Amino acid sequence: MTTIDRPHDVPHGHHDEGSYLTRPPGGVLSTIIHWVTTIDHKKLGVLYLGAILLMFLVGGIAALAVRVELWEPTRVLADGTVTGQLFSGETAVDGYRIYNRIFTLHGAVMVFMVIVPGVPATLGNFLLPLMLGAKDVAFPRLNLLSWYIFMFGLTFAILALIQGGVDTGWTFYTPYSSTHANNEYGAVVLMTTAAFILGFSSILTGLNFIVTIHKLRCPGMGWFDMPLFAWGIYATSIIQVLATPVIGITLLLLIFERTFHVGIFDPAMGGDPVMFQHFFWFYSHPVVYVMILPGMAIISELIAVHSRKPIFGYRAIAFSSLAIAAVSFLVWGHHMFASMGELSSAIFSALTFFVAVPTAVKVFNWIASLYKGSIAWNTPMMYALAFLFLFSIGGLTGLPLATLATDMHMHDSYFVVAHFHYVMMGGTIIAFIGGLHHWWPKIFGKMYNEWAGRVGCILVFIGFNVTFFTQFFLGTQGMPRRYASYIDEFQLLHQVSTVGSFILLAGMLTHAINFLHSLIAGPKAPPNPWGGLTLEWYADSPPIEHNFHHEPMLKHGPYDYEDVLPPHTDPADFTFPEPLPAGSRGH
Amino acid sequence: MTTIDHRSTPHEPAGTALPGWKRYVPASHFRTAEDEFDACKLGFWLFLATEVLLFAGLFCAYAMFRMLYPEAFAVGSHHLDVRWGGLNTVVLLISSFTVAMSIRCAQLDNQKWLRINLVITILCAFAFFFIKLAFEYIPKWTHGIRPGVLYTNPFPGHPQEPTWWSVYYGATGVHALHVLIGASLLGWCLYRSVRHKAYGPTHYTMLENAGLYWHLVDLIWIFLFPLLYLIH
Amino acid sequence: MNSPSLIPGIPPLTLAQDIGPLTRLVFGERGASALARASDGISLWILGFNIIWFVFLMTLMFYWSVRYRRRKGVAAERSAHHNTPLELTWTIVPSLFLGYMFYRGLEGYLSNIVAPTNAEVIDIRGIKWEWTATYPNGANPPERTTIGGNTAAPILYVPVGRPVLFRMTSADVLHSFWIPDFRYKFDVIPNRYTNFWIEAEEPGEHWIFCAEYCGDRHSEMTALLRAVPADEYDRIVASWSIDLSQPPEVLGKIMVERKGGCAACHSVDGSTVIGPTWKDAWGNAVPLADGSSIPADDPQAWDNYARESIVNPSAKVHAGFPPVMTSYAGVFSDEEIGWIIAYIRTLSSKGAAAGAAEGGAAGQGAAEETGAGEQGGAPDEQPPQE
Repeated sequence: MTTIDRPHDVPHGHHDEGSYLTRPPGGVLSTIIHWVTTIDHKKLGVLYLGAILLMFLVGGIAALAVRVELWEPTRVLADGTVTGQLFSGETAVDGYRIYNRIFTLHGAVMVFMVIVPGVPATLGNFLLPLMLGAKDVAFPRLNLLSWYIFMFGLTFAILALIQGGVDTGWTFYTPYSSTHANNEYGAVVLMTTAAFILGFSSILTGLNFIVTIHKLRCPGMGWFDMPLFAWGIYATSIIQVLATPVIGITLLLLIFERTFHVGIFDPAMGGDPVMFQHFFWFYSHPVVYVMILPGMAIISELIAVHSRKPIFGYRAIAFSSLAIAAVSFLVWGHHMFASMGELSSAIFSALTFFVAVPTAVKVFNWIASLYKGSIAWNTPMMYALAFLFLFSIGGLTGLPLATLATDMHMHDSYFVVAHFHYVMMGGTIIAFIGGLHHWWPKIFGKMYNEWAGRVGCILVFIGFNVTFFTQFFLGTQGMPRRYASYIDEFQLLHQVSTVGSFILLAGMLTHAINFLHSLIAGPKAPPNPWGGLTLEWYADSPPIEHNFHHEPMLKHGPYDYEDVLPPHTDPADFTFPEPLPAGSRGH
Repeated sequence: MTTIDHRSTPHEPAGTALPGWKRYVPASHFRTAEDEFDACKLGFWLFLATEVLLFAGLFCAYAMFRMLYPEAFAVGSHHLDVRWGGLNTVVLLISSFTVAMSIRCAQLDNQKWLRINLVITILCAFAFFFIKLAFEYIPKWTHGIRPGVLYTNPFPGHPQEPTWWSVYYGATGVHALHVLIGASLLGWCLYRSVRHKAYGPTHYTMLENAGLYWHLVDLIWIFLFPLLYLIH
Repeated sequence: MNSPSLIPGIPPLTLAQDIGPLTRLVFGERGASALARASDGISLWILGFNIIWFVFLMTLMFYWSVRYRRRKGVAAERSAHHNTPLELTWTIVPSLFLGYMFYRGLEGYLSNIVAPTNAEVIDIRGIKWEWTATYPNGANPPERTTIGGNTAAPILYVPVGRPVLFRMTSADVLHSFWIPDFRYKFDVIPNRYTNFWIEAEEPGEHWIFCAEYCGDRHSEMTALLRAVPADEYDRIVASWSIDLSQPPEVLGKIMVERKGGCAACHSVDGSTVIGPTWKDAWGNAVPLADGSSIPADDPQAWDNYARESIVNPSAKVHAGFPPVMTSYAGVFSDEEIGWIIAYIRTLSSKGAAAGAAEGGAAGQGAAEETGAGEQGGAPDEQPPQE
């Protein structure tokens, strides 16, 4: 572990400024107001983090409820008693109704309120200006507005929940959602409005990041001197800006359909329900890349820092991120092979294979980066290795889904459920947790307990695989999605999966307790506990309000370990050079 | 979007004659004013891209339903008066010209004509609304020609004509909402110009962006007009 | 795995015996047709490809992560930061494999799309939450079985060795017709036909599941596909013809059980499934959602309420029940609606008392109908079978 020497020429007027977390003078109320009106990207990142972790808890509880419900199939005994339900009513169908709302809640919360905002709004907001050597994002007030919009959208979702929730599935397929689903007290309209509003938050965040990357890089930082995290965020932001308006108009049309019965999606009035699917997936496919690209961006950083190696093929990773963003707009039809004609299906299948290639190339690059590295088996690195394992399974199991002949069997089965959990959870969430551990010292200035982190990682890894690997087999053997009950033959695999979900819970709880303990009583973190070379590690832990004491001027690349660190030198004995010219202009 | 920084320099007495655009200080996280201007323009163009995609969805719905029910569209379009649509087109084109002129005036520090051009633009927006409401929406609404389930006209010319009307109201309604937003932005610019002389040769970001928004609103109408009014 | 098993978790022996352990592990049962087995061939090829690449990549990853563990006093050695020939190779070679995968997938898919011209067409109708089938002779299959929690799953017969085309449409929302043993599904969409074809190679039983979420009882929208030798199939299907000389209430029961799928929501034993039970319904007061009610002991009012609810269910909704019934307009003729009402009447203690005069009148029209395939002399309606 190495520390950075503080510069000796502290600029006038700003000594002992305290970090961005320092409480302002005044009581609790003034602290709250200070936080909710902040335009500081770091505080906004922390605010998003709190909200998103809370929604992760909500979505996670829903997931556990789903798994517990599926422990046993529902049966009605001869005397009319209903068995095998978590929430049972007088009839089996009462229980099904509740189940249908719970799985919809799980999907909608996890997609719209956790994974899509997830990394960009939290780590992206916090780290991007720091990594670029900037004081803030391009439009700090817009950033605050994005957060307000996000919270406003959350309130609509909570209102929808209070009104009894929605049972359409997070995909809101018509005509079920437009004319048939339960819409007492307007739950469908509320939930779609929530997603509509959350979309604006996503658009504005993406817009902010694109301009930040174009305009606020510090002197000496060209496009190819940026950390790969910034490239990932850049590609993500492009998709956010271009794809999100389409879900906006789609949900708007669904709301019109629901309230005014305009007949766009209602076949009885001449509308086309499959058109909804085209509109919906035109956004929702690119959005899965909004989910994974930031996760991949994190992995680049974790592997580089904890292997003390540049990422193999920097340009390949950078350009493949852009390529994925571009091709992601062309493949939406692969969600609809079972409702489209042959020509469309053939074209979309071919295009889907195209998007697989840049993704695979990244995995190869990351593994190649390990060669001749100096690899620390700490929590962030273990998460990076777990990501490579789990995301590879997720990506490879996408291949039979892209293949037409096999997809006709596996579509809408548990195979798909397993696939997307491997990529979304085994990919993005795993990367997110790894990133949280990696940057926790920077964000909060505290260290967490390393052994607890490792134990949590192992529990999460084992629990995740037990939960979801079994679901591949459930799918190929014939278990459809979104089933509240099932035939007896599937019970064993469902039970194994449920056991896995509780191991996963144990891992998550371990991390939660570890982090909470760190905040309350953890040891103070040094500015650069891992020996990273990207600019955020030259800021204090936690950073001051304006990030850097002086504007940084880049002196080395983000992963120049081999150039900066002389050979055969123990990094613990080495003082990493600061990229700060003496006497540079202060704030 | 940035707004005017009202801080005066320490040596200026209150009520000084310096116009707002001269007093403007760019936000501190940008290195130069030019950087800030470029950043704001880039950001705004990105936002306009999202607006284009929003309307793209509406145009897609139009295309789908026109492909499915071409006669209903032809019959429905006959009920629209090309003259009012054409007049609205001319009105919006004039307003695009005047808003571009007002930006030019800002660049030349011609505050008087800047304001006059803005006023004309906003009046054109009102004219657009007036024509739309008085000669198009209200007469149709009173005849029962309304979107979706509200359609009560007992004599549609084609069984799918209500679908055409839903598309019509949807597209022109969302467009009209954007006209309103654009006019509000321009109204705000007018206010700042009158009160603070906010725009001048070295700073006219907000005006430029509002003008871009207005051009987009006009451009969308240029597409809507032939697609709605000029089909046979 | 094909027929409901006696011991949960242990599939019974079926005629489709010789499957490799890998197919059994992955799919549970061998593909039931040549096309299904071809699909399995592609699946297992992809699985093999995946396993080889995955094992290779993970071995490399774990080996290097351990071999290059951080050691005190030792920095990482220099190594190349990129290697264009290597990167091009690992881009192009997998792409070639993927291209092959796409091709085989397209080939298998197209075989399933193009049905043989001599395929027999069975019309499938998906309605929340039951599958109804109409065979070429106009008849609907009468047998029911239990699959999981669904005690009224229809048994659809298909002939061994002859291709069958399912022409499918939905009465309400999206459904999807999935026969896992045939490794194929297709969405069932309102207002249009979609189809796929199968050819069973051996006698056997196969599950049919709805695979597109459609609401409350989506998980119980199941059916059984029973493949039988061709001559047995012809005999069985012919036996489904309905003797129209039977009393209207008997014909109504047949309509309800075979064509309506009403049991998905309405019970006859007093329990509540989704909608109101038919036991003791006829002739009793019906409170409506808007506060009014259908009066008791008024046969005309009740019959009109029933008729309207069949063709326009959202007009008058029984208070306390969700307004989720799909319309049957166009499914039942006026005469068939009359039979159904006559049947519902027999389930009520008030029906028999008031029934004699009206029952006779409704029965007059029954004998006049002679649709294709509905011959006289066939056996009486089949009782539901487990």
